[in-house]
Amino acid sequence: MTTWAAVARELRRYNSAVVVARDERGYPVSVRCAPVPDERTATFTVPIPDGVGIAVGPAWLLCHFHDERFWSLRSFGARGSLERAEGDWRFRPTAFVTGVGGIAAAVRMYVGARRRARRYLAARGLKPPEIRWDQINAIKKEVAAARP
Amino acid sequence: MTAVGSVADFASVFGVPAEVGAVVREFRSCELSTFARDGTPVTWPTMPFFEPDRRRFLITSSVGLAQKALNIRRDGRVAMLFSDPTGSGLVRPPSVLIQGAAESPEDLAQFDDRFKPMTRLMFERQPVGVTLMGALPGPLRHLVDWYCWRVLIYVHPRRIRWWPDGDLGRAFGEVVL
Repeated sequence: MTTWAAVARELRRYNSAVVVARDERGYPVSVRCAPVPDERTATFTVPIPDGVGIAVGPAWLLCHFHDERFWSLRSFGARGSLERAEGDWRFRPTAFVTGVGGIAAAVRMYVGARRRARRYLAARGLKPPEIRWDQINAIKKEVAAARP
Repeated sequence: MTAVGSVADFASVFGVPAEVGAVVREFRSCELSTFARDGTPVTWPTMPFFEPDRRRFLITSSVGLAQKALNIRRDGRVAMLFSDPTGSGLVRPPSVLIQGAAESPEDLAQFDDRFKPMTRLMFERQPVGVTLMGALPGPLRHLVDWYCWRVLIYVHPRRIRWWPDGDLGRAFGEVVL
């Protein structure tokens, strides 16, 4: 499957996406929009209004979802570039980036993040901090008691 | 650290409309953009906590998911887009884009009394995740220690833009700091 096809398939699960590139000052600028797949050019047309200040160049596309309780998280990203063609803005993906959501992604994230955490601490000569479960649980109890 | 929702809020600190302040206060997440080593923007959702007395946002991330902090230590230019109102209770809120200068010190944090307002808000807003984390019996808690070791990110707003009703076709408001 091509990168474009992978992004197009996953994009169908979301109502909109966030497209990000640089602005004229070199800062990231991001816009929520509804990308339209164009298989012929292996791009996505992204409706970006004038005046946003976004520029052609390296770009990113993000889709994410959470429910009303800030749970059921899922997401994916795509690296690529933002192009201007025939008056339209187009996002051309070059790499699909797995986010969160689903068992496989959860296991991959858990294993990878745990390994990276230890590597991060080791590289800086830091001793793994002892987790203050007593304080965490006290705050949790406070929140639970305040809940209607 | 001052809790979110204290008397001074984002709107009064930066002189933006109250509905922009409500977005910053009530949205569950924002899309934080940093720059990778090759200059490509990288964006993932995150929970920001506004500290009005410091005029900045605090964002934390597990040391196992520290790429955004590493990116910021190379290039501090970031953007935070508030564009998903799910769970906020707000109707037709503006979209808010905050561009800023970020820093990520080497200190580590965790969900303890030092960061109580942030921890409390997270527990209030994400009860399922907290329940799962707290459900682990003592001997198994080391399995999630990596999640509790947090890197710190501070974002100092430099430009705030908002689009009424979240409609990007309308004229936007702007404050440059």
